[in-house]
Amino acid sequence: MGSVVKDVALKEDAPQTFLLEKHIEYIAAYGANKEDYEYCMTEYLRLSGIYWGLTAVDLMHSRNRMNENEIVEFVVSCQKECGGFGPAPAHDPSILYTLSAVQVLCMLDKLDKIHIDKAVAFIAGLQNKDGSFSGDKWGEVDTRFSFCAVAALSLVGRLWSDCPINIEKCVEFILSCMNFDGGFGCRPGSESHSGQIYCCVGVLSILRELHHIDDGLLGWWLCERQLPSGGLNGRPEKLPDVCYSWWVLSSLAILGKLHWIDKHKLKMFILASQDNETGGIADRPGDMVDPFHTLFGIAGLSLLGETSLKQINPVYCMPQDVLNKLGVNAQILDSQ
Amino acid sequence: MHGRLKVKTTAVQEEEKRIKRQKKLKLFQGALAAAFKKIHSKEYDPEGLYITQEILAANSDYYTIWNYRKNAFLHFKNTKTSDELLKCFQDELSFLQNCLKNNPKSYSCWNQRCFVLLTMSDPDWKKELQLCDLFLQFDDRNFHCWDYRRFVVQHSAVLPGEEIQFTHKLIENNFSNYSSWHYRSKLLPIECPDASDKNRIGEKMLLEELELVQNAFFTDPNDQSAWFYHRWLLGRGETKQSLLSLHVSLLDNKLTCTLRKPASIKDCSRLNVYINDNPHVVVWKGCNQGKYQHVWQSDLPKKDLFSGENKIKVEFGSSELMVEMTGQDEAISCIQTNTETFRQSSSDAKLSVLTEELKSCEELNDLEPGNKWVMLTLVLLMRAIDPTHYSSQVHDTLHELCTVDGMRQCYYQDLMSKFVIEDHIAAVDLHQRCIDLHGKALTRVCRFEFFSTITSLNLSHNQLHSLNSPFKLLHCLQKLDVSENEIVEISGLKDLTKLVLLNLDSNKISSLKTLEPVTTCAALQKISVKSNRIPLEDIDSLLQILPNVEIVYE
Repeated sequence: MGSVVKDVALKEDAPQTFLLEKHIEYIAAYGANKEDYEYCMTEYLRLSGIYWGLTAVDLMHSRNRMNENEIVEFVVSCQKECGGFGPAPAHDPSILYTLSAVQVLCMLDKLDKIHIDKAVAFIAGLQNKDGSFSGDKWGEVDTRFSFCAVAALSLVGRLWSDCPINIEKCVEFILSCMNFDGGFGCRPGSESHSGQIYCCVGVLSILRELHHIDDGLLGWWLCERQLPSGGLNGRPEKLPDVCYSWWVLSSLAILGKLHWIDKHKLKMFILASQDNETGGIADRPGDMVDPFHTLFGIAGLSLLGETSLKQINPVYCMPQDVLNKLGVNAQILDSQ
Repeated sequence: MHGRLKVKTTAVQEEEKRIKRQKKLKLFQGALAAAFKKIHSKEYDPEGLYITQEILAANSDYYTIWNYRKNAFLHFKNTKTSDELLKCFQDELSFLQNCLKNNPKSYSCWNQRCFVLLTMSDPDWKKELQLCDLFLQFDDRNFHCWDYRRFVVQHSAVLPGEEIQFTHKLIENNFSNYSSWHYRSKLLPIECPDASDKNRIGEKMLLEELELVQNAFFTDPNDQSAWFYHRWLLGRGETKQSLLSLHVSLLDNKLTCTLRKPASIKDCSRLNVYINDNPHVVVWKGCNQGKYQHVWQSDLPKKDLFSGENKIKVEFGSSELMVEMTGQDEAISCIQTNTETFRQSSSDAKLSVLTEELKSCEELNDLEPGNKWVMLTLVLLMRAIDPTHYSSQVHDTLHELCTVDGMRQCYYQDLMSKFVIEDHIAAVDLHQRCIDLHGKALTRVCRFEFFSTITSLNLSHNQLHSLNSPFKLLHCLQKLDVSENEIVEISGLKDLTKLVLLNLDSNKISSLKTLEPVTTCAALQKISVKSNRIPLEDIDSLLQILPNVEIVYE
């Protein structure tokens, strides 16, 4: 008796080249029609949507295709009295959109347009006694929020000087979420999941604490995410997905283990997930595209060495040149 | 958007869909506008609850709308009778159950459910546990539901033993259930802890668990869940921090300690130095950049204090190293390595258990030849039992794995390299200060903290791509041969101040820029770069930059 490996097959007529121009058009047009159904129904994550789109076009050397003034104005309008950002002006603030706001403004070099001190206070106010972070005032705890806090504080230059959070406790909480397989989950006791692994590895990387990770064990778990189709899944026995491909790939890159997977096969999987009619990238070949998977597909290709793209930073999922300009860096283990 | 197949449609169908969606959208946005009005005016009334329910039924990810309902319930706590309030909460729970049926992976819904349970008085936790059973029946890998289950368990004092039984039931239904195995890895150490390590399982339970997981992989040898769990059960003891070596140089007036695990400056406060049995206060400085380092250095008192015989001792916890200075300029002391030095990193299970496991896996390997999970497990077991005895079998199996599981061949190669280096370290006397690892098919280097006092290293005829951070640990290195590799970068050689001879022949170094780190090696006398890809003009520049170094390039 043998279990059936959950996977997809790449069709012969699937795209095999990178459709740069089509993706630029797809992202530039997304949101141009403010009446579009999908666009309206996703207002609750608008600010993150802007981050996905802007990062994607920036990686494609086409940031000029976005209306930068409009974006900055929108981001500014999302900051609340408490300093946190909502995904759109009427929505409640959350640490998720606070990070998106900071990332977007870093890319546009417009951090000075918002109340940084207030945003910093909002983030610091969400740290709990055990070092964890809540997403908002309602108190949901998740390692994703730890990443948002640490990444945002480092981007605005408040991690190493005048730091308002307890870093030692923050690390302690992350380590309390480590599992038998070397991975991490949402909270202590939660199952390992490559999205959460990316967040926890990211926190430890930004804080220069990667030595706590058993890179051999976690690297093995991560490289076992690659399926025969070349795509990576987010957990054992799951289907491959372009966004998980990014989270696994970036975690491997941070741990210096990118070579433990077959890079060419992953590249072909991402290319096959492109839509050659509309542009954009889907979760897997043949599915509907969206800006989220388009960014993570492009980010993955950049990490795999696609030369028509800007270099991406695996920790921040932002163009490396933006971080260089800000003087922000994180710990990346040497590939050996 | 996950798992939404793109369907080819005609223009007519497309238009119909658009009109239908526009209608739906108009209704949705109308409701949204009304809801935000209520939110803004903090108006908590049945109408508000109704509108927001409509919105969330269509899109349960609108967390701001859920927040309105949270505020409403908090408001009702002061304004409604307890019966009315109970009805509100019960309605919310059944509404949430419907939302979860449509969207079982909605963070917002599960979070709202936690809020309700924590806010209402006398919540029925038993019912919540049943709800988890139900949702896990539908999808036994839904991590939101598993997390919610742990939340319920935590708040209702369900015993670990009951939860262990629950996971057992799920595993018996379907062995391939990573979530259940994961949960067991958390529960079993609570229920039956090991006397010496609270994160591991006591021996009796361990044997039962090994039998269960063996049933799983004998039933389905391709089920990775069982194999990952098996690797954990056999366990790897955590390496304890200890001293590896001590190096004293009177020429530089430096005392250098190398630790097994990276340490911070704070950890260094546990490093105690004694000169002739008298405590000696020192200031530690990391040899390289970074918060955590293996190698720490401090200044020694001026040389004239060292007349006659001197004993220098360093302590860290229960480990200590000592050198005696009897007129020489330099002295080292290293730990004695042996086969036990790394065995613990393979497994800390008992030998009898490991031998039983090996027997079972060999049996399975006969039944299922070429199964990568079985093969890798065999390798790990053989390493844990007796690395020397099984050396060639480990090598052959890993070699075969590179073909059987080609996508991960670099993983297996790196693993082999690690084994080769570990075996070498276990077999040599580090006081010899010479390490010869040439021609070992190494694709990576590791464990270089053990080499921090060596003066000569031969790594020629391997498959190394870069000489990076591990080389920074070799602060005594004088002679390095890395000829006949595939080296493209040598950043780790930066500031190796003792390096005299460097052989880089037959590699893939392509420019002067790549060679830049050698310009920081102050003692360098000779560098050989034959058979690389360096342009002649770059060699000329190098000759100018390093006028006192002999450069061999053809």
